[in-house]
Amino acid sequence: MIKTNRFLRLKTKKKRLVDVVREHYLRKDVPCHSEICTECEQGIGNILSSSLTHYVVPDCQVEHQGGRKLSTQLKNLVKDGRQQCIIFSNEFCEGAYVARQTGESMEDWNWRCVYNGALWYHNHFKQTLPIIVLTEDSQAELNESGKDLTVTREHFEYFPLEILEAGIKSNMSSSKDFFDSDILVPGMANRNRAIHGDIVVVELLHQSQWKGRSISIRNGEEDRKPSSGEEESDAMPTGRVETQETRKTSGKVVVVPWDYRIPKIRISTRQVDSLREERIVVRIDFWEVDSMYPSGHFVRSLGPIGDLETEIQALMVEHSLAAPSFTEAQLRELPSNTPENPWVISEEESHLVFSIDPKGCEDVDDTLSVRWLKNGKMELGVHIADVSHFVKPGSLTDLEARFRFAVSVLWILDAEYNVIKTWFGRTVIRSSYKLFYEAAQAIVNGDEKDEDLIKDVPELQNLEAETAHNKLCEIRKSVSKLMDIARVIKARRTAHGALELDSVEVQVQLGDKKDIKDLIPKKLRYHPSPRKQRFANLTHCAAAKGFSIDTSSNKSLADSLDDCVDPNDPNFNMIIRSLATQAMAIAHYFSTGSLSPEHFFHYGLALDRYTHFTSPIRRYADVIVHRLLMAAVGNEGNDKLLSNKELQETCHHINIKHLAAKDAQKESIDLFQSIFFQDLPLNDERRICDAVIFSLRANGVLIFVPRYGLKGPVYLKDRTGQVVTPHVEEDSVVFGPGMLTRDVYHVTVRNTAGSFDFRLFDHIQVCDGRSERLELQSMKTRQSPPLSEVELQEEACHKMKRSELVKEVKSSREEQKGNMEIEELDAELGKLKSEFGQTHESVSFYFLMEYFREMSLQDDKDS
Amino acid sequence: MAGLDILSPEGLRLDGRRPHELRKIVFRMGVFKQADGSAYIEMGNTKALATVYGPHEVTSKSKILHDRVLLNCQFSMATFSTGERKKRPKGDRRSTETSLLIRRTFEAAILAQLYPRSQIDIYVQILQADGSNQSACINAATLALIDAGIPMKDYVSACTVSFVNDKPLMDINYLEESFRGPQLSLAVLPKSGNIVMFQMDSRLHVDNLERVLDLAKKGCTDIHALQRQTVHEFSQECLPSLTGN
Repeated sequence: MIKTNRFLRLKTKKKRLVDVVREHYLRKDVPCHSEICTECEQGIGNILSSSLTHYVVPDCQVEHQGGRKLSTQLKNLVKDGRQQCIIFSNEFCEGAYVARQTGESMEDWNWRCVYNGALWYHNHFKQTLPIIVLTEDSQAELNESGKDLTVTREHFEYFPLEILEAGIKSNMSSSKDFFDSDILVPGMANRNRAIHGDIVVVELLHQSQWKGRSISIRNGEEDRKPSSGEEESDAMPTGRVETQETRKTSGKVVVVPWDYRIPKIRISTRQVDSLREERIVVRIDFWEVDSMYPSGHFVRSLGPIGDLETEIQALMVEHSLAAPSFTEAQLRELPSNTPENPWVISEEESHLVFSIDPKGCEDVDDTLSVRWLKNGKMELGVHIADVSHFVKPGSLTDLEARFRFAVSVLWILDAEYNVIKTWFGRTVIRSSYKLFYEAAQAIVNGDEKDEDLIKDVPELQNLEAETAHNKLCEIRKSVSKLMDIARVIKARRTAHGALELDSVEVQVQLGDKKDIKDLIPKKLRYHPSPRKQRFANLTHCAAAKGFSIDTSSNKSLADSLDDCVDPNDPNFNMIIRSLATQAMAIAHYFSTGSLSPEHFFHYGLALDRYTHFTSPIRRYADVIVHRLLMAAVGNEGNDKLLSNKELQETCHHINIKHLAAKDAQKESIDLFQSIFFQDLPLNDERRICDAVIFSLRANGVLIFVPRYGLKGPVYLKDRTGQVVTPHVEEDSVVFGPGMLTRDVYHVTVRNTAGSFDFRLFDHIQVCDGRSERLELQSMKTRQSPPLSEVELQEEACHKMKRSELVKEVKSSREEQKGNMEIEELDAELGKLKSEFGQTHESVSFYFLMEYFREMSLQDDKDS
Repeated sequence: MAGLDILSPEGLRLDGRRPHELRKIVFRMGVFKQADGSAYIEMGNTKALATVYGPHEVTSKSKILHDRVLLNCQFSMATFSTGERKKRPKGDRRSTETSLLIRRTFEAAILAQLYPRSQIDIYVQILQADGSNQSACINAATLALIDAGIPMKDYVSACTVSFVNDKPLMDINYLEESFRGPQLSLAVLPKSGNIVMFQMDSRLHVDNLERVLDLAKKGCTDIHALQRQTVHEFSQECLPSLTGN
């Protein structure tokens, strides 16, 4: 034993510095606690097994700066015999200790001690075993680099901004065409504190280090390409996160975000108990290099978990959709119909004007008119409420609901419905009739008696029977004419190759005149052509059924989609279409100044230029189009109009919001769905339904449930490696021993009961189980849906089922909570209803009217 | 920072010793020529100097003892012995108490009847304090008495033992003393095993007393061996001057 002294400078209670000398004995008999060591006399405590591949030595900061809690954790680790952790008293070991040099800082000395301890181990085992030192101190790393130890850290520091900018600039030209695909950034370390939604700068690794994408359900659902990169985030994460669970950790709380892609966040709050079991909004402030979790702060609470209202609010917050009410100042800006400033436009022509809207609709924002001219031609008018009259450019207000002013488009059509002349202008609507879809449909069909029809049209109620009848004939004539025109134009456009895609929105097209485009920057909506490789899944699926999909152009794609019909399976075409939709890029608004003209086209609609402005009440985008249009036709000065750059920014904002609204809509459906299933008793027959396989994975299949419009994974193999096996007595499925192989078009399960194939587009029975996950209900597969299912679908389209689901959820929740605010719910219901509560496209008059409205605005480019 | 553990899970104390280990001890005898006897001791960082004068005439006639020798003990701590400078080197309550303790100890060890109406002075000074001060003083004084040629029944060996985490700790230093565990200062006459000093201020469960006492005795025995060795070596050194060669 060697006696040395340690010299310390400590503080007394009176804050005076005192030099203290302490004895320090260095011994030779400090045990190394390793099984492979034959020299040391091992004392009490754990022994490191000889099977270990390497030893890890943590930095001294772990113990010294980690606080008492971490220290206790480490001690518990050491106490636990299974953990293979030991404490090596390097400071008392003769070979491992180094004396502190004069002027050396405590940190440096500590680091040197750790390093020497590791070095001692390294030499103790005759350099046969790799020793890894964990540290976050880059300086220490530098000091000791060149020596024979590996040094690693948890996260990396970000590169300085200048380096990043220079790097991006130099790589800009090459990266644009090369990196068309996504980049895979695997693992926490490579992700380097970036979270979902961040804009990041990535450093590409060498091609030899690229990894393939995983094909199992758990990881492989995101469409990622085989490449890999190290990442440097240049955007500080500032996100809104809802949590679903709180956990108390000594004053600080770790919250679990709603979005599983965002890591847990540490916040410090004093109201831990009141926030427990609540959904809260949290803001991420920063993420330290040495921290596992980002740090944030509590913003506000949304309400208790599981509450319907809370969940809806959570959805709104998550997609940053806020709907605060208007301020006084905004309301004061609205013009009113006063004697000094009457709503009058000079020359008035009278047209038969009427509106067609869903039943219960109160905002009549678009009307139609038809007039026969003398020379066999006819005049067609579409009148859209002119919100831009009320919302002056640059004013505070964003929206107004009551209006009479309209922007109108009038066409003169010849007998073949070719457009001869077009007129844009401001008009005042004086709607004669407010028709509902159902009423309009009935009027055209002529199935019902006139007396019944009159009841449906409020304007006709007070008139005498004779006049009412005449009026009705007038309406019927106009409406049938409109339908006729719509049909012709639709057929004409389909011939041009417009895609009929499930869930692709169809909107109004406005052909630009050359002079308009030259005048001002315009806001259009473009739909880029999809990448070839995105169709891979689609063509693969179609090939499983023996169809081939030609994706070379939008016309050929539309044709091939039309051909993909399986007479036995009505769902097949629908699924193929939805897969095609998935492959599509999303349509964007843009300013004509920011893109070259060849990018103006709309892929899905097969149009060269396209914009829409039919619903200015609902869409701000339409208000902008209104303004631009009026400026273009010279009704108003364009001094207040947005410049190209501003317009571009506005478009970008609208695009983001549009996407957010779509996502929120989708998730609100998911929410209602899960509540619906949650409220169902376990043995309810509605839980069991028919599903179609549309994609194969290494440990299961992805399925589509036509009845509820659900998509989801079904596991055929669980985590322990067991595969699905039919239950011996009951008609159900359990997990048992076996193996699973994945082929091009089918997944084969071999188990004790035999071999089972799951082919693409096979129908299987699934059950929405207790864990809110889809479970296989029966091992049998079919080529076509079961009879009962077909009947169900014929009886009511699956979309109807969805609205039924929403109603069901709503009513059951209302029963539970009588005092719930129903308005909020109704708004949500209305939204859902307007999307899903419609009759099928082919039988709906509404769709025909919609088509007509779109077509009607199409300017003939040849004229 | 994690709290200091007086005894780590691996069984090592803060300075790297195991619980039953003594500090490094150094003895030197005859360090002053003008005193009749002197000795210097280092127990780890505790350093003490002991000088013995006498036997000589009693300085204060009133204190004279007719059947035995008058033992005068003075314990002091140098002003530089602690981290903060001490204001009074001697005369405070603790020093007086320690003086008394040392006197009692040696009254039991010295053959006092051999020098009636005489006086022996023992001056002990702590030069550097790092725990177990009393024990160090007694050990040093023993050697100083031997150096002065005062007849004694036996060596006096002393040792301080503490009790922490169900484990007795031998020869505690200042840091371990400041943890305020029970401290037992024990002085024995090693050959007979008789206890001449037994000092403990705080409470200790009687079940543990045995273990603490055993360890203290063991410590005293070890120290005795060192003392003996030192005296032997010193005698060897002095032999030429005694024989006159």
